[in-house]
Amino acid sequence: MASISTPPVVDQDEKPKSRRPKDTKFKQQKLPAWQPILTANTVLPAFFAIGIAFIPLGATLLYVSDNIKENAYDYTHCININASENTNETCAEFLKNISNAGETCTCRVTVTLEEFSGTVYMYYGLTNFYQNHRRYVRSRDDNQLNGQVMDPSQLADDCNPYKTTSLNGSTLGYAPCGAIANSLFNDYPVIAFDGTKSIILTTSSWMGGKNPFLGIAYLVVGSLCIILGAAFLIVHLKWGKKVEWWIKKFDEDPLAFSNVEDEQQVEGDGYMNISA
Amino acid sequence: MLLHRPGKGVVVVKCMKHEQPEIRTIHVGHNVCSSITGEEVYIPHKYPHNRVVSSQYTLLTFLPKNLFSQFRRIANFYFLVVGIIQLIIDTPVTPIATILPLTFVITVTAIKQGYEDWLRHKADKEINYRNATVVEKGHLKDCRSMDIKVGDIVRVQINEKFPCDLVMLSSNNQDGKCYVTTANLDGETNLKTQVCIPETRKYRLDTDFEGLEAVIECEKPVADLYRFIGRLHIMQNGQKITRPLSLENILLQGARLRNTTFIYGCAVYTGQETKMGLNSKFKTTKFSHVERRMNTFLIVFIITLFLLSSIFTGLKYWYTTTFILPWYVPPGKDELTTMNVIEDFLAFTVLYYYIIPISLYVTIEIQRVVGSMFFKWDCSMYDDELDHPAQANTSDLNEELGQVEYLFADKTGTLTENTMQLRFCSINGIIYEEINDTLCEYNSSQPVSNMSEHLIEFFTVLVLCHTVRVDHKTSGDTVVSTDSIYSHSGKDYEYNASSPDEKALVEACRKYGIVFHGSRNDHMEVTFQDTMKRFKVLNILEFDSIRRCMSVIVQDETGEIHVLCKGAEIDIFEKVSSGDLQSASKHINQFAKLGLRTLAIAKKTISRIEFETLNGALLEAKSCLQRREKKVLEVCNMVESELKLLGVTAVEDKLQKDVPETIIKLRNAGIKVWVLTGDKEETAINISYSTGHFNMGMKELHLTGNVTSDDCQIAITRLCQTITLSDDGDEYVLIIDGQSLHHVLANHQPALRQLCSSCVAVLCCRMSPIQKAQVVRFVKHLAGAPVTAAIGDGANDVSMIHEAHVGIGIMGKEGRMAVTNSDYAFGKFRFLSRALLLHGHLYYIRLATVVQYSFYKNVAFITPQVFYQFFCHFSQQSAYDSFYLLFYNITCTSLPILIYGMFEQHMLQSKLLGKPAYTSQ
Repeated sequence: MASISTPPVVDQDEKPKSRRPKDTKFKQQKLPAWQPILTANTVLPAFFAIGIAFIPLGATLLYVSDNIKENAYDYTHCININASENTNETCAEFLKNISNAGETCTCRVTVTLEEFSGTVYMYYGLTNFYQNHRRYVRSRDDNQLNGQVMDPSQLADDCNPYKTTSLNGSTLGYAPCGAIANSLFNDYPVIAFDGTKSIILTTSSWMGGKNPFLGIAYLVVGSLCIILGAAFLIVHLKWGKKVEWWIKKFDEDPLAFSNVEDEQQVEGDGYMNISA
Repeated sequence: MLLHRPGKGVVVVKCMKHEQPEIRTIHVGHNVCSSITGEEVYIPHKYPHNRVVSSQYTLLTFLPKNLFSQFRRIANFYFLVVGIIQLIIDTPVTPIATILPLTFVITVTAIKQGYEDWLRHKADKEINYRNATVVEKGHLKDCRSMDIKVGDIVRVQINEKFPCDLVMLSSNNQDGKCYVTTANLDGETNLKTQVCIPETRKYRLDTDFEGLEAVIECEKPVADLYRFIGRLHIMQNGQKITRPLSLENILLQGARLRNTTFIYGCAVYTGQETKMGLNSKFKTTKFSHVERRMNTFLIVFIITLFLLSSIFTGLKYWYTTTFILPWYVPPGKDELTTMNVIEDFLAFTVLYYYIIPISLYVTIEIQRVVGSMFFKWDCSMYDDELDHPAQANTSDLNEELGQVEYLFADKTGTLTENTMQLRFCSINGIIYEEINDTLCEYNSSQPVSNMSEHLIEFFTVLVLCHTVRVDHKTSGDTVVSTDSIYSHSGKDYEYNASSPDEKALVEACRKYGIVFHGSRNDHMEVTFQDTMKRFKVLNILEFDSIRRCMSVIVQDETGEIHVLCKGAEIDIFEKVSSGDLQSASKHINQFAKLGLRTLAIAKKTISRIEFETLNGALLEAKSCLQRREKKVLEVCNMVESELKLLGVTAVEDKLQKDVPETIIKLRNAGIKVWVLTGDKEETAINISYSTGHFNMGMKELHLTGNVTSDDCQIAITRLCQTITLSDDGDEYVLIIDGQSLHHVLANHQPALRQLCSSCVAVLCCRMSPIQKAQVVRFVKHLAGAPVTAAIGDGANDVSMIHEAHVGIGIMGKEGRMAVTNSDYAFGKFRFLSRALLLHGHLYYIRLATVVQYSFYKNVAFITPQVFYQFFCHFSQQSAYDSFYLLFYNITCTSLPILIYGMFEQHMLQSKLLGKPAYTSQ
């Protein structure tokens, strides 16, 4: 007969250690915290401060922007200098004509710059041009643009249909390939998509090119703050309640407060001292 | 396969059979007893092996099963679908931006789950390979726990865990008793006594079992821990004896043997079919309201996404047909064909799909887990007495705690301490009061010096009619069952009972010099003023919630047989034929008005012949496998009839600390409190006043004592009229009893709805457990579908804890059933205000902000993308770089809100608790 000696089983049921949770600030959710309480005393000065800071800033920005000179010269419909006197043929019309394929068209725009001082920059302006069209944007080969010599077969497929061309039976790659390059080395025929093209000449300042928007935005926001601040101040002085009033009201009927939008005002320390 | 057993003329046929029979027939120790079953051929059923499989995966199934479970989550699935779309179509954003984070999340989760499963495998292996000892052909044989088969006789040593569900056959104890703790199963740490049937007690040696011819018949496995029905047939001296088997005979897997050197048992349920195995499967899932709202948000956003995509596909084709494509754009698929339209639609979907905050689910999950940790860590919800912190069994319902509109509270053990003390008893028309541990006649502080006949008779019933167990504290800390250690005063006895009332009564008897010493060899031993008397226990009809009483049949030293009965007075009064009923019921009302719990005590003396008839019927009923409960009930009612009323006890149950304050706080926060109790009306009303549930000045509306549905109709109409005719300022409370509620819920729900809406508090008394759940269900379906919470401590509260949106368990004295079935649990009722008003409210504020912010940030992010389409000829060009899209969601914007979601406190804790009105919505 087999006799069995079982090893003493370690008791897992009893735990002599106290299970009291640790009384740390973290576990008891009592970490120091900042609890901003919005009261008229803190909000009204903030309104005025924002207004006072923004209005001069906006005025300065607007002044600087206004001092920048910028002239744009639209030459979409400029006259071909080689055109006969009575036809007044524009370059756009000239290039549209199939028989003029491969020809160049020259036109002249007279520019008069007054009070332009310092460096003058030239920009090229287009309207109605979808430079962000997905198939246009990605129609390029980054490696090629980075200067690598690419075999025509290695060029990115995104370049199609401006990837390769065949000349005398051999396949040649476009350099640079793609729709972007294809359009860039053209003086853009813009009539086809109802666009315009122009030359922009501008001076600059420490804040960059001409940009009146920023200054106006600052001015509007600053003025609004001053106006609202003044309105709130009047409301506050005329109809505001003291904190004692709120406490009394709360004690009368606590449940009525469940729908007060900003309950925290009730607890505001020193709320309404201004009116005292 | 055929097995021939030498020496037995029985052919054993082994075959595979998979369907589960209604009744299991188990040959103990595989000794086939054709004389019992009457069958020539023994066909053993194939039961599952005793292998614990808590792991979910094997090496082979891990990948497919884990991936499947992960992609069932909506966020992952969404990611996957978008990823696949991106791979198929000409995508505007690189698929890497979708697939990379998806792979990352899936891999991390898979590794985590794989590791957890590996741990489970390890734990399973430890259990499955644990040494077990079975008796085979009269010899002990070592085997692994997983090799135990149904029918094996298993030997378990002290402090070992039972390897499977066993029917106890014998123990080293001559009485055939053993002690177990079931902390693993239900969390109760007290010792429980299990017994074996008398006929198998003597098999105490391994070699004995060769001669044992017995068959166990039992139900197919059920998950209910508190149900076991079976019977044992045993051949003794050539005769077949049949004994009923019930819960007291079974040793459950996971329980631990205590204070008993060894036991033998027969395996009946193994492996996944043990009660523990069946119970570990079930987990009811509840979803919080916020989560449901979030899912509707999600659907709205998905619809928005599809709408946006459709609109922009339309715009694209309108634009490309109206304005000719500029010459500088390479030609592409812009013709109006079905394929192109579908592809463009999908391309727009891919472009805008970040409108749905993918990180939301991960953020919320982390936020909730951390939130539930704060719940457990809260020192203010730690219970000193129990040494137990608050417990969050789920983190999915955190914010629901802050949304509770209706609270259903149990009374006993939840509002009260459930520590009972005998205060009064009414014996033979005279009221006695306990003053300073002595029994005095009411209104005289003189202790009763000599016990009269009536008193002795009364206290004899009290001291015998119970199921209290006696534990004796020895010098060490170990508790030894003290069947044989006596002390005259009984001062160092520790009484253990499943019902605190019983404990209070036996303790009261001890104070008056009638000491219960426990039972030994089927005899209860009691000293009456130092004179030992022994009563033979012939049968015990245990308490059940239908009869609401219990009886003990004893034989005293003179040989007379008594039926001793105690129970709820309503039920006892029906069974009483003599005794001073009038004064008893008068006194009961008096006691009830003091908020005391009352029990009626009765007895009768029966002849031996009567006893034999009743006992036979009882045995027969208990041996039934089908409809046993009903048959037992019928016999019990036969036994408990024609009783003589001896008197009434009144037990006080003290209120828990700070209950009125808590209820007032909850009410100030706009939570409607309903008290549901099984107690009688007067007691319940009294407790309601003392807990602040009712206040003086509130007008009581009674909807009680209505026997028929028509009575209820009339009563409700009358009560509604009372309300409409009254002044505006009046506050009403509704009191409704179980019987009326039954009719009202069946036939007059609209009227009850109207009535409840005009009452500030509701008290439901005389409730059965299932009615508690019905009340909760009724309120859940009120207009506006209010969020409900149920709080309770006992097994009778489990149904309502399951039913309510949030179930809260109180760790009380009535076991841990409520706690294990609850969503949140803590030690005392007063912690409720902290749980609901502080934690719940903070959880809600935090989660609401997290959800709204998550949707907001993605709308803000995607809006420029939408407007950008007007500037790129609706060509699905992305305004952002692909990786910017990726990191915006995963890190840049989800981490700050996560920190907010874990720690935000928009108000000081003291303010939330001090002015509960803040938290009302």
